[in-house]
Amino acid sequence: MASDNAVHRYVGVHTDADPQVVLEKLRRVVEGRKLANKIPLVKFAKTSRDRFYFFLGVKGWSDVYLPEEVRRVLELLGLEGSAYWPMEINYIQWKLRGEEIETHYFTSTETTAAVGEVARQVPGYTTAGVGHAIDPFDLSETELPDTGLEDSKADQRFDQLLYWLSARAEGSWEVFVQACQLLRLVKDPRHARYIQRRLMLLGHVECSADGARWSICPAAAVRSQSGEVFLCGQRTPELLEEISEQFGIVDRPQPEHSSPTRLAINGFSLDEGETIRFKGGVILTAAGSASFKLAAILPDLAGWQDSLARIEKLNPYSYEIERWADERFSPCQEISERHNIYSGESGMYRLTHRVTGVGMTLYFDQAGQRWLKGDWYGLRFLAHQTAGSRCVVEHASGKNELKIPIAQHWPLLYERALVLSSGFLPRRIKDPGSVIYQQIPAKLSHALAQKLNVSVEERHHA
Amino acid sequence: MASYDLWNTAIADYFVSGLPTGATVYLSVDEDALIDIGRRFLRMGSENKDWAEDFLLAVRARCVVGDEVRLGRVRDAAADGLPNCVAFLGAMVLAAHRMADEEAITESNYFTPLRRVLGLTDGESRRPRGLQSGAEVSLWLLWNRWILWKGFLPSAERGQGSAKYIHYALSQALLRDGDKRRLARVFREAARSHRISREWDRDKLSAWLRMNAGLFNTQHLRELFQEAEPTRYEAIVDALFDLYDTLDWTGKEQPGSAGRRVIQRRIIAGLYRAEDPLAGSISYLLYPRKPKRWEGANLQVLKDGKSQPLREERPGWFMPLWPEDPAGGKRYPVRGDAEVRELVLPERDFWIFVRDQENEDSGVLASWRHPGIYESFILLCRKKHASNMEMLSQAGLLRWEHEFQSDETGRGWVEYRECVITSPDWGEVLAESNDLFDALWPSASATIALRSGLRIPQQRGWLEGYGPEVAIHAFEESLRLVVRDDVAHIDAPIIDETVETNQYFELPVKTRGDYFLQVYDGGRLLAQQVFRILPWRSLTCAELQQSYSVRLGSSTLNGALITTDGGSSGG
Repeated sequence: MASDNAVHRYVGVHTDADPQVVLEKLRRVVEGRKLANKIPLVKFAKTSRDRFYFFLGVKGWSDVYLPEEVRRVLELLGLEGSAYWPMEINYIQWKLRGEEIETHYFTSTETTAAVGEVARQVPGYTTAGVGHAIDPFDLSETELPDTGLEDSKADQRFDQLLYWLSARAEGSWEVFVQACQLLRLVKDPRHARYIQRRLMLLGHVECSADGARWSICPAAAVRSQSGEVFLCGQRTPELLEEISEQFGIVDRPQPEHSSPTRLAINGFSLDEGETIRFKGGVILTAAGSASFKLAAILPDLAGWQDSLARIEKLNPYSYEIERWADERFSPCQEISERHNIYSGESGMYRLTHRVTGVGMTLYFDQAGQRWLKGDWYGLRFLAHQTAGSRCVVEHASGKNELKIPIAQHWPLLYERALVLSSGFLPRRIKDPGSVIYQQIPAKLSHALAQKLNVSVEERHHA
Repeated sequence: MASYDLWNTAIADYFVSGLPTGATVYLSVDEDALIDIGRRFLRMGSENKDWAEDFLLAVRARCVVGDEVRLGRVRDAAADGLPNCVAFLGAMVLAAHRMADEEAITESNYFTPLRRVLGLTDGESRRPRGLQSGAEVSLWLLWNRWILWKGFLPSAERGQGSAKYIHYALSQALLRDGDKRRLARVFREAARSHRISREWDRDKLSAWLRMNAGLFNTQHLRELFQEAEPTRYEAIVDALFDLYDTLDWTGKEQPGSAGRRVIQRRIIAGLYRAEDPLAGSISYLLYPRKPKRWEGANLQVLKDGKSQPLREERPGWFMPLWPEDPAGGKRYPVRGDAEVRELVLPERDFWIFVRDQENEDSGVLASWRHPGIYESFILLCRKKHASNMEMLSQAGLLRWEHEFQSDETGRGWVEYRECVITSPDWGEVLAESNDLFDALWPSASATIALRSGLRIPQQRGWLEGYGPEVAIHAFEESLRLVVRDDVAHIDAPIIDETVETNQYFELPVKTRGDYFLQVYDGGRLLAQQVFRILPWRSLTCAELQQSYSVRLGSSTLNGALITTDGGSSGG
């Protein structure tokens, strides 16, 4: 075996420079000089003192003198001054305990198909951090996708999505995206996030705080403001058949056929909290007037901000950072971190990992020194308020409709209270860009608006 | 006497109960299995009943008239789909177990014990009357089809040459009676000389067997350890572990005509790795494996004076329990069944965690099985293995992406993440062996991976119109793939072609039904897999075990339902 020529020793260096830049330089020098057989790998990690340590593994090195070719590499990178040697793997693991040690392999000219091309990429397992190739919460395109799909069978496929979600019960964001693509509900996989959001508004699905996973909601019968009762949550063809045997079901499409069909149940007379048990153990619960109940328990905006998930140990140097302002993201150089203190203005930021390309949108709360993750419209709403912009909505009292400018879209939980008032998603109007919710009594709109520091202008229609 | 139908059902239940989905089933009916079935599944009569004799009386009563075999009453299936021939096939396998130790496999060497089993005229070595050449094939195909329908993989297959039909029965007899006696002596002697412990788990025993194959000096045992077909080799190891795990170490035979060995089971636990991505914390939970062929009572495990029920999490496994130190070496008393005394977490200095095959995106990893070819996994090991890991890496046998060590993983333990085995040439490269190398040594030459499509894990299938993509992962560049939609159509597969390995492609199967995939290298079977395509109407609402919700003060919001602390659900 090749043990005589194996890596037994390492030479270590430390640097405060951008680790990705250092790694890339190392790769160019080692591979360019065809030294991968001598220096086949490097391990590195960041320590708690914000310093980066690199350990170059060296083959066939048994004495105390640093091999000349290795010294030359360090000189080219300007790292020879901080180099120390020799070290063994046990020391490295002790030195970097508590940190995630990355190992990168240099490619020699003899290397044929790299294992990385063959090894399966399996989703689901992540370490700390919440990166996804498509951030489940990122709705940063100001142009909403064309959800009409020009397809009269889109409702059927959205219903199929809900059936499949109900049979799966829970899963990862990646699997959700895959299902939307397979069912031809999206042309661009990024648009799956809109579908997930709509399903959450309709009370069908919830997701984890980081958006990495979803779960189907329990079946519920909700009373709308018009007095109809409609279904939320888990459903399959089998369950619907059973429900229709006891009650009638009336289906109506969502605006633009953009979600599963709204199913109203005729003759449903259970009191709030009562349940019916169906085959297979499915329990349907009478939820009553969910919109008012939800509006009553929602916190004010500050309370909602405090409830958001925090990202710990975020290293801004690992990301390209953009800040949301003037209805778009723009590059931002102002965010920095020293000794766990972050500098920069409060606002909404998009962070894209320099190496993996994985992105996420966060709200930075300067005063609280925290990075917060939440629904995209909610973070944008926070940024809007932080910037001092006034938020105004219109309520049409005769029609009981609430009109909200798209640029001031409410956080998801508050919007859910609006949607559960009727069981219908809002319809969009383009000029000016707004969304209109139906069956919204004045009392509900005022209750929610007050919590969000939003002004309500009443319009009286005959 | 228990009736033939009772034995038929009990035998079928015995060989599939407690098995994980996709496991290969061997109808390995021998004396010990019959005792086990009688005691636990039939529970009739006294403890000292001669179960083997009871079984044979039932089979003869149904299938033998005078000196002739009559299969007319066992050719069909019962109303629930269970073939009526299972007990008769079991008798055929029992005969294989009773072949003398060193007997070559010939028809005459087999039919002599078969005739005795069926109570036919002794002194003859030819096929019984009524069981003409190939008559049993349709029964074996019926059994194989039922196994597939249940979501498992069949193992009974035709042989070559003059033994081609009797090979169906012979393929099910993993350890002959003589093998077991010889192995029991070897285990006892090794335990007395402290070369083995009585408390190893399967992996530890497997490593020891591989390193000490020279102790087994009969031709048949040597052939067993040289078994080239990976699935069969794993089944042989399972049978050996079953013998080891239930061995009477005192070496005394139990009194009574039925007693052969002590039936006492341990529940061996693995570890279930759970990670909180936001908090970044990792836990290794005690993960009890169901005893094989368990048809069980309600079991309770005791810890610190409190009992906790053992509930099924999936076929073959109980729900994960509490966090444990990966060093293991723990024992907990178990109540609820006289044969199951304790739950054991073996002492280990490494663990291999693979993704959930049923739900790969769950983020959960556990010590379910050996990783497949090019399947990434996590290796958790003591720091003392660092030099071994470096050796494997430099030898081009194994790669990984990160190492992680924290107080949470336990002092002196390191996680090697995104490990991938990168070469099959371990035997050519490694000059030494140890437990770690043996555990990582690729046991399979190929694995079949299914992905994409709309999968329904709880129902072991994919939805009609949205079937899976398939890849054969192997070190070879191409292999033969055979796909059948019915195990009976051996000669009419829907796909039989050479495919490039390590590339996913869509299977041209869209219609509902059960599908059986096999991968060959020349004539050697390397891997097999079963899946089904289901209609949309078959979807059922899954039980909500992991449900996300939003906490709002003293209330919890889940969709449209709001639950107040101490109150009831409602909007």
